[in-house]
Amino acid sequence: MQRHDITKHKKQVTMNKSLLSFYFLLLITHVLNAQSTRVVSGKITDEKGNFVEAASIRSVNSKTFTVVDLSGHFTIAVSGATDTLIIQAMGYIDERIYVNEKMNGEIKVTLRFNSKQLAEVIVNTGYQKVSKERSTGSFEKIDPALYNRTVTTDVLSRLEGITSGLFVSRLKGYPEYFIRGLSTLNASTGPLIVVDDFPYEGDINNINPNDVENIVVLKDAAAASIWGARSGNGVIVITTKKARFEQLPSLSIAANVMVQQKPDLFYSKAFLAAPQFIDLEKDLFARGYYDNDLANTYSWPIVSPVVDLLDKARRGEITQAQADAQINQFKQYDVRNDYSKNLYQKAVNQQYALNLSGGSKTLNYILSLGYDKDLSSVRENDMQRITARQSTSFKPLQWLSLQADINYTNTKNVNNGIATIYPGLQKGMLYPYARLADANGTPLAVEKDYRLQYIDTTGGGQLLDWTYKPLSEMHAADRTIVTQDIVTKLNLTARVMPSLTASLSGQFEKSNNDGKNYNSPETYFTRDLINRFTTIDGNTVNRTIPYGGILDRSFSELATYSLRGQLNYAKNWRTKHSVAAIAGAEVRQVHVTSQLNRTYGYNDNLLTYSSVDWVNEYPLYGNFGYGYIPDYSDFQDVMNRFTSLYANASYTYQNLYTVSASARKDAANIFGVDANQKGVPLWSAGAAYKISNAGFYKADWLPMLKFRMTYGYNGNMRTDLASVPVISFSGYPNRYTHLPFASITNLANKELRWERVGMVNIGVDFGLKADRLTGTVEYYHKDAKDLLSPAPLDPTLGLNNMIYNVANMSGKGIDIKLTAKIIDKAFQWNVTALYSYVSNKVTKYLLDYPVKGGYVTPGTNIAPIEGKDPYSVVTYRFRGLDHNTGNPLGTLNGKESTDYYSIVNTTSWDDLRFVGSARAPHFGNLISTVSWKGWAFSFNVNFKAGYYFMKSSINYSALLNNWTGHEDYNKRWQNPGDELRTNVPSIVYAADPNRDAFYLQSDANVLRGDLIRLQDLRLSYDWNRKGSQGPVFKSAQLYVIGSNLGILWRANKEGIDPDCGDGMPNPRAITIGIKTNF
Amino acid sequence: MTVYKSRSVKVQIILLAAISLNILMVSCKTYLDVKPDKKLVQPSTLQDAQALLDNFFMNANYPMLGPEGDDDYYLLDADFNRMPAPIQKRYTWQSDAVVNDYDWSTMYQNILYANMALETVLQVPINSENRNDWERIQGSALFFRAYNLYWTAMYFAVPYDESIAATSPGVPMRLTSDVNEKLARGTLKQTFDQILKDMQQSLLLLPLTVDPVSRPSKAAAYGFMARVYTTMRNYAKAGDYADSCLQLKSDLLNYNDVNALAATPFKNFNKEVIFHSEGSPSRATYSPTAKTDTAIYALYDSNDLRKKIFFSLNSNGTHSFKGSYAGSNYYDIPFNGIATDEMYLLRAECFARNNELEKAIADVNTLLSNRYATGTYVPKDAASQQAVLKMILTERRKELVGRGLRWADLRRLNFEPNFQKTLVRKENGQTFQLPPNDARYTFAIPSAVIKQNGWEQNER
Repeated sequence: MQRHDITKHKKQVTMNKSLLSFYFLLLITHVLNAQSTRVVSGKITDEKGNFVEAASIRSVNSKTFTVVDLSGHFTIAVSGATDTLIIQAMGYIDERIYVNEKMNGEIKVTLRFNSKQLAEVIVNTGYQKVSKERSTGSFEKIDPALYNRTVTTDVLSRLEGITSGLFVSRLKGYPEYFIRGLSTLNASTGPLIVVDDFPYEGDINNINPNDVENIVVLKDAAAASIWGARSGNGVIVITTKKARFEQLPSLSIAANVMVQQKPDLFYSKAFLAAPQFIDLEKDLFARGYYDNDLANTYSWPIVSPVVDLLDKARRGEITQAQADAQINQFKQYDVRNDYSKNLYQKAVNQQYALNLSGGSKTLNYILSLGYDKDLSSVRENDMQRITARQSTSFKPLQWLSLQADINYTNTKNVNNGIATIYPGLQKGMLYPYARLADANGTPLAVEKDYRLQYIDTTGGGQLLDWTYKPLSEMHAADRTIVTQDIVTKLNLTARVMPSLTASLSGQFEKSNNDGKNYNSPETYFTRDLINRFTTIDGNTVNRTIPYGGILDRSFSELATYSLRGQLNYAKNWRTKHSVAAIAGAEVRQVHVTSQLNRTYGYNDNLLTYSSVDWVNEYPLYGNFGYGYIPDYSDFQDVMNRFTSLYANASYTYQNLYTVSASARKDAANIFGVDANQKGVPLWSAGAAYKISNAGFYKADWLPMLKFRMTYGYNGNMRTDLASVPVISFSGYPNRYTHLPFASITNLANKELRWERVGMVNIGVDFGLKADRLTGTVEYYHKDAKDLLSPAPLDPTLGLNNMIYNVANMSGKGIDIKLTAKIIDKAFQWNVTALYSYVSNKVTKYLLDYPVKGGYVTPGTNIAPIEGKDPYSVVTYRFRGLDHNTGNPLGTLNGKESTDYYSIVNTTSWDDLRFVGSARAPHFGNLISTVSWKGWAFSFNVNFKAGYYFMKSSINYSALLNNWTGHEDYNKRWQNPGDELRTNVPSIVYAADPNRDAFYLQSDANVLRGDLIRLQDLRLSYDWNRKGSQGPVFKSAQLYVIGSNLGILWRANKEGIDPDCGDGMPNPRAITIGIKTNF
Repeated sequence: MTVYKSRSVKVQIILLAAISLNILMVSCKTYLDVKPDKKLVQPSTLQDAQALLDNFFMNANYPMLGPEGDDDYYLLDADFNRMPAPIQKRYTWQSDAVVNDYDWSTMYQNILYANMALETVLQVPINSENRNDWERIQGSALFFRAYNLYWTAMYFAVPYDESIAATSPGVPMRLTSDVNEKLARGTLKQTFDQILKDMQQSLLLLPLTVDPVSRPSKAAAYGFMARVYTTMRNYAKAGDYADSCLQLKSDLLNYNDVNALAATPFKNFNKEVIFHSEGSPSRATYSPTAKTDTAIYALYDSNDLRKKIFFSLNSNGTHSFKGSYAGSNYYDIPFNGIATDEMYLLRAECFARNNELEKAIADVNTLLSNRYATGTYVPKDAASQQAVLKMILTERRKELVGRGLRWADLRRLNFEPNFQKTLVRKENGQTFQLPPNDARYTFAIPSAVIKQNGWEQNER
């Protein structure tokens, strides 16, 4: 039986072999055929020795035609004793070469640049490499010099300030990228990120920025719509470094270190200093404000040390003088100093990169290694990343090439640090005189969930220590996340005809996330949970949760594959006609699985654990009723599949007119939609006119002028909706019944479809003589249709709203990019200026807020209001402070009012003020570089204009109940007449949340955001030993960068950085680095 | 000749590419049929239907419109002044008081779940193996639909009276999950007919008892039928159903075993609970903001354990309710499900109304002997029918305080001159009254619902 199998297997191998031999035979036949006529071969390079892409060679006598292969070589048949070869390539002057029988070996042809044309810029769209000159769309190729000006751990943040139309918002504490504003309300707002021709599904921070060769940003429909249903927010195409054929081995090494100042904890105004805070506490104590809490021996709510001392003095436990002495001591403290000293440090980021590449005639390789170690500004937080990348191209035959890539990333994030200390219950922050350590550095306890007085005595020492010492926590827990990511790629390209290539490419990516959150028995988290589930009966201590650590593990895995088959056609007929077209098909699968689990009684040294009872309720310590031991399991399994068909073609006539068109159809496994309905056809069309190539064009001072216009549709998608009724099973069982249960997540919606974004783009490219000034000006108009958005339903259906394709949004804008060579001698001065204007408007939105006050928004999140910017600042109208009471005066039904409840809950739209956009509609950058000999100095200045933000102010409810103070407390109205100098309302001792809500969200706190910021400065020196003797290295650069240097001018007078939300501005940083090539 | 001249290899490659492309596209259809998320299901099995009914909000979030307006509690001026205007208006029975959309839609959401479960069950062929599950799930879905329709009628239709039921507007009856189905309000009689129809069918299908009691059982169905007939003031039938219910489950907690000091003295799913359902806390009825009506507190004897177990003393001398059978940490979540204590009182009331006084007294004694400190309870004696009925209704008041059943009781007892009550509230020196049989016992349907459907609005 076995033998039979083996024989069968052998037979198959033999068959495969014979098939292969057959192909070889065919091949040999072709070569033999080729021998029958005289063949000359040659190599074509440009003046700099670089390979010229798509150069064509024509023989005059034999009428044969060929194009260069992928390494610049060609072979062509000639006839007769002498023949003439005409060599043409876009952007170069035509060359004529005479060949005769005596010529042996390879002909070397050097093409000269056509000075009338700019050097050709090739942009990679991810599907094809197109000549920017012959394109109609809006492609922005990022200048490598600008990309390499700065140093970051990730790729995307380097694009800020050097890419026109790209807006980066950090209001939410992490960067959000927007290309040309907003195109969707409920789908992802970020651009599609493509790395080496395939969408990158993993964490983009896996990519080492040193591995990047170039980046192209696709902005309009003609550029981006080839990416179909995911391209509505623009596309960022990243291409990593590749080696070339026939290249000497070269090694480059880069190293840099960035040191960043400690964050300025005194920046935030949301802090009330100890002396004022204590005075207020004394006042409140005298008013009996804490009596309820102090008398509460049921839940033992926490009180501050000052209140505790005052209480002790009142009860006679200590004298008033003793209390006052200690309280006066407290007035000297400032918790921010303790934070700064114990929780924060200077951030230090180290980055090392090594890059080795080389190539022979048939094989080239590049190998790169990277190591990053970032010490966060929060102590005990750090990140380490190792990247390794390898790319090899192999060209076994002249018409066949093969490329294989492997990328590996290993990232380890440790997050044991504490950035902010949150006391328990409803307290928002620590009281200002809290101390984290005593003079000897011994960690001190701060108030957490129960009053210290209670936890000191309760349980008679039989409970675990119930105090919370923040500084002891940092070393007691282990919170790490390790991510491993592997991407492999294979590409096979065959030139099947002179102008036709076929390629098959595939990518497989696997990314594993392994999270460990270990709370040792020393952590407060563990001690607290064990104590809560402890009952004490005399001397019997009964712990429902066993003593030991608590371990939460999370695993997630992303596995994707993509497979693409594509035909590329490119042909030039002399210089008259030129056609470039592609057509292809693609399948893609993204599979994400994840799981979470919790283990109690875990010992990290012995790897032992204990079982617990999840099923039954247990009594909680201190008459708190009953509770279940918290379970923490969850499982996810999400699979998305896509198929796409696409085609793209452009035709250029006489380098003068270009027309282009593209079409794409995507389909996905959206639940319940029939396969033929899943697809959405997206298309684009465009035209360009390069007037400077026209015969009549005589403006010598402007040798390059091109107009282009495109129109088409991009898409946005959400794969989590369905057109049929869908129920979703909960990942955890019902808390009370322990039964699995399901919810209805979707009712039937036969009309469900993907969002579409129609865009018109009109652009002008121009270049002055000798490129003294080159630039691009573009205008666009977007119409986002069928946006998915909740629409109201009859509540009698049991659902108040459902997501339909019902909203519309429009957008328009201008992007300008100018590059000037102001001085171009030995001393050089170059300036790049970017300016963008973008405006978005929600044109249709069906959902009305039940309460008009619901429209009030600081504009941090998308808040759609028909006719308005989706990121609008909408406030209550503030009419100053009342002369007699210091109450803030609001507007209700057009009249002055202090009925804060009604203002907050029933205000009509007319009583609200639409202030403007919270995102700058005008923004841009100015990058100036001066260089002389090896020295170069540059800076990047950024401006934003025309936007608003809400500043924080005193919230009396939060101050009185949650310890959350604000400097504005000191500016509050205290006496009649103060209303002339301040907008800050008086304190009321029965704090009214509606009064606070009205004041905080009124236009009293709106400020203009406009600012000019010095993004960075850079000084560098280059050694270029090319050609000189004793080459230790070919070239080297040493540089110093200062970043986050601060705001040069701002519209607000209060020193607020409007772009960092409630967080702290990024502290200044200095980077020193070196790059060398061997 | 160059390699390009003969093209057979390339032709083959193109052919191959074309063929593979074709295969790719043909297989697309099945390729895209894979489920995007394993947790998502187009409901089709008994398990799916059961999972919908086991969603805990089928047992939770019942609107607190009745309890907001009842006389179990009152608000201090300071607390009243902090309440949002809509709650203030409902608390003081203003005729222009409005309710939130979700006070309407939560019950219809449960009806939607029940309908979807029902439609799913009906797709599954019944056989000897799945018969028990099949019947239980269908019976449960019908129970939930009727139960939610009943609560909707309790708030949004006028109190049931045989003489006007055929002409008064009822509440819309959604019997399918079809989004496009257009409904009318129908008559009150149609609403109650539908409730009874669903319940009679459900009674044939449900198992005798279940665990956990978040699922309906035959005992629960009998108990609920007793409630429905009480609401319809058909006390003969109500008594029969209460009796049937107690035949299946009659356990009582002995309050001597309950920790009176605990913040939440009762566990949920305790042995008195026949069917668990709970309301969503309202800011007004939230404990300890809501103060227990002093007249009620005064009704309890000193030996009555409920006095300590049910109420906590506030620092200002007032009391707040803490005796919810919804248990757990959430002592402000009111229990409004069906429990044996309610059934004993209901059966007693029906006995009394039928002049079976001995039996009535026996039920009361059974219950109360479990409510007093051991050895202190003095059994009640039979007196006149009227006196026994009055005593039973007083005991009902004491036992079922905070249960969310008071509103329905007020609505039905207002038909009897002997038991009518005018509710009075005093806030900020102003007095508000709700006389018996007032139109304000029925809430206005949310205006969005009226607007979208063109229905007749309730008069208030």
